[in-house]
Amino acid sequence: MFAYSPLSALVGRPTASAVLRSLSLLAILAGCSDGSNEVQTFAVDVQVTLPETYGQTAAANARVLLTSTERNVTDTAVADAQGVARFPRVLPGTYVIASSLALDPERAFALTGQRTALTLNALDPARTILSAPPSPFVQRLSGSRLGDLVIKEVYYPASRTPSGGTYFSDQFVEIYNNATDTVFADGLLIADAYGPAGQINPTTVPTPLQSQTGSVFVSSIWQVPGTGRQYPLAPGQSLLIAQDGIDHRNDPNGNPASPVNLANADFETFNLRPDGRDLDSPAVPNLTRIVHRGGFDWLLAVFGPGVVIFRSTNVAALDSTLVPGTTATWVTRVPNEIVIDAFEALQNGNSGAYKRVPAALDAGYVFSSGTYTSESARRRLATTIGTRRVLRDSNNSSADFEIITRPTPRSFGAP
Amino acid sequence: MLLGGQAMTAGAQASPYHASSPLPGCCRATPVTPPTVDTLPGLLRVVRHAAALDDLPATSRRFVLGSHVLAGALRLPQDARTERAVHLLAEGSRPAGRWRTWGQAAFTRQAELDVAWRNQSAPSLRSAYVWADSVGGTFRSDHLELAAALVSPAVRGFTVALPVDYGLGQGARRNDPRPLYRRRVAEVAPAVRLQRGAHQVGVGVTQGWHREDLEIGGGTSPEVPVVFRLRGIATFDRTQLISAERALIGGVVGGHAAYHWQSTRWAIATGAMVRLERDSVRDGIAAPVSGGSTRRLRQDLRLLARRQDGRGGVELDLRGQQEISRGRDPVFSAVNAIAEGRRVQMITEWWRGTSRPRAAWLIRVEGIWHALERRDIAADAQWAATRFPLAVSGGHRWPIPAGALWVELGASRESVADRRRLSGRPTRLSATIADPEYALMAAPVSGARVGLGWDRVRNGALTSRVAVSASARRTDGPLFDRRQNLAAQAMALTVELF
Repeated sequence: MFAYSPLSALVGRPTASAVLRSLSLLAILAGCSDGSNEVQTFAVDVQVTLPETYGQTAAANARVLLTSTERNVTDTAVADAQGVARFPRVLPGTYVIASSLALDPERAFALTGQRTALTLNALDPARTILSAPPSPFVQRLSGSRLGDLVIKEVYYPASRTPSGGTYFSDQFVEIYNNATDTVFADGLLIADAYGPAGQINPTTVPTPLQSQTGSVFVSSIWQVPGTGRQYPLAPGQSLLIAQDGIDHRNDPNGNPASPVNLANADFETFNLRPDGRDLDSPAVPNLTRIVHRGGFDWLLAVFGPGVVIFRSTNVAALDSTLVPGTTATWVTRVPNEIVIDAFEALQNGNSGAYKRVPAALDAGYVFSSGTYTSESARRRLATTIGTRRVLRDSNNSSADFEIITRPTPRSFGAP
Repeated sequence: MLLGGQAMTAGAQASPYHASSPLPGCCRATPVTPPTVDTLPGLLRVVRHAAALDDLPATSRRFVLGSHVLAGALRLPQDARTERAVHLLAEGSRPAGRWRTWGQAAFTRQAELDVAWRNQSAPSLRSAYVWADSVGGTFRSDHLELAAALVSPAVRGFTVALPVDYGLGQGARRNDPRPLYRRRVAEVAPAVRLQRGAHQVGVGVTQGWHREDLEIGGGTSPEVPVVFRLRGIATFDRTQLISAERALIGGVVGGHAAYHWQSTRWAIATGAMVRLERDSVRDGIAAPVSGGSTRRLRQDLRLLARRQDGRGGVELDLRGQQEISRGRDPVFSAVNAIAEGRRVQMITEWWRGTSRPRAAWLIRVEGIWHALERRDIAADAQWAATRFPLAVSGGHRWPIPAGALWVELGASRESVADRRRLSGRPTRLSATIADPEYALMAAPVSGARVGLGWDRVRNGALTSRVAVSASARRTDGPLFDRRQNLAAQAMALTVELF
């Protein structure tokens, strides 16, 4: 790739052979075209199929996203009646292929016999395409119901202090009522998915639990307290869960460079410890700690967390399992069926192989430009009905979320 | 080479350090002054053939102090909004026995205000692989260029010359993430001339090296900078970094051949040049990886013809040029960034007077056909435009007891035909670089210029010159990217001592 001449420094003197070689090369190149090929594009077909138990095979009208991990550019195609989506001009590279199909109650009934709206997803997190593939890539959809509560924003990259240090106590998760009716948050469970977010270290490998696509495996679980009707969320209202419920910009324990004031959060995650290292904000009620397998506080991975919200009538009965290949790392299995919404962020565009949340729950991921950047992942707006904002929910974080430069707790304004 | 090109224009920089670009300086108003030395059409002018150094006076010396300011919104997106520079130049030639020697030293201190999307020296824009950030700022830089040539006596009609150029410079931006560059350039161009009566034939080769070391990072801001690695007019990747190093390493090989014939009234010279430049970008030091490589092939043809007698003369300068630049992308390992330029230029001058520099009247007409194209295959981005600049200028000299006063007035008009643009996969850079570039290249431009000077003559020889010139250019209306009536201005002041 580098220049053909001995050009590493000007101290080197040209030899006679180097001059002759240069001149002969010049004579050749002056008369003919460049010796290297131009970048070639080619067509790629994706065959999208419905789940095996459905009454049909072809997933007509499925939406397929082809995202370049190098360029972070997404092309979109819609499957035809045979379920084939065509991308006519694809560059060589590594791609995330994500398919989704939203079924309204009528179409769901025709395919499954159940009149429940749902979204089907499929994901290929890292497909290297260097030339025209001989046959279409096949994606089989699987699905879950759409949630009334959705994760509106996850502020996970955290911030830097004025002296350049790192500060992660200002992380938060905001949950939003995307439905038309009031929803009670009492008993709602929130958890973070187990596994690394990318190639953090040279020896980092994806979670070995990836292949078990029927569940999401979580490290810690927290629960909204209440008797069942104590914490109503009207349509368009949100629930703000802070790691620490303080005004991070002005509190003596905070960070003047933090972008958020979380003193008005609805809940915080207080981790009672003998050493008292996690401070309890008296003004903000605490979530109930169900399982905590982390440090002194509920720290979301600054490289990119997976977050799920779910409900369970008997959370204590959820299976705990040892992570294969480890001797003391335990996780809890949360079946896909009880998950209401999921969000996933990874380290960067090349981290698709590290995905932890099954594609049926979340067929994509987002990534910030780095750690401690004060950026935030916020769900996009789908439409506005009256004064109520309806947020995009296709069970695909790549499509549903965007990275914004500053967090916007309880707001949809400009960062 | 500095030789010849520098000898013709005061203050202008025409060295490998300021080598050609696929994108010409289409949009800048440039100051002009008339020549102080009348170099006949010959090998020196037509291909800068060093063995024809005897086209210049055998003994000469020249000192130049100059300054120029270029400003205005009519600029390419990676150009500075304002450029201020001070030049110092010393040049001289003298015989050494039967040999001839020539040397030159030029120093430039330069400030470039509001440079964006380019964190390295401007000559590297010949490469598509440029470091950048979205912040921009003011670069300050110093450049020193040294040139020398040694010419042998004629032996059986053969004359041999060895010119050597060396340039070095460094520049830095004043604000975070504080990019800086250090650049070195060297070039040798041995040449041989054969003279038989009124006929001369010259051939020469060129070998050159250049290297630019780049650093970025540091500063006091707690924000980690986002640095863009440009890979075309719309393709890029970006990363956060604390500090990093990059090196742009390259070389040039070239050659030329030329012919010259002269009679009492006629002088005709024609020549061809070819020049192949290569640049490779190397990211990192400990484990360097390719950041892209560029290959540029430039071919020139030129014909100069002059008829002159004691009352005046006429000169025709016809040039053809083709330059093709192909950038090999580090990700795709294939050519992605392509720039092509083809240019045909005809300059005709008429003057009345004993010689061209001392002509009482001079009229100059210049017409150009210029086809330009840039492509970025990965981003499916492309623009092309064919420009037709036409410029007319006239000059007059008034003899005064201590020398002469002169004035030059000119007007130009650049029309555009066959403009095309494609943006298949728009990126953030499409609106930042590709679209503004196209907007400027597709815009008709009108211009005017004026130059005033005083030449001091003693015993029939020019001893000093004070010159001031100004020029302005302006587009006609809304540009493609909706900007209105962009304009650029240039002013220059030059003092020369001989």
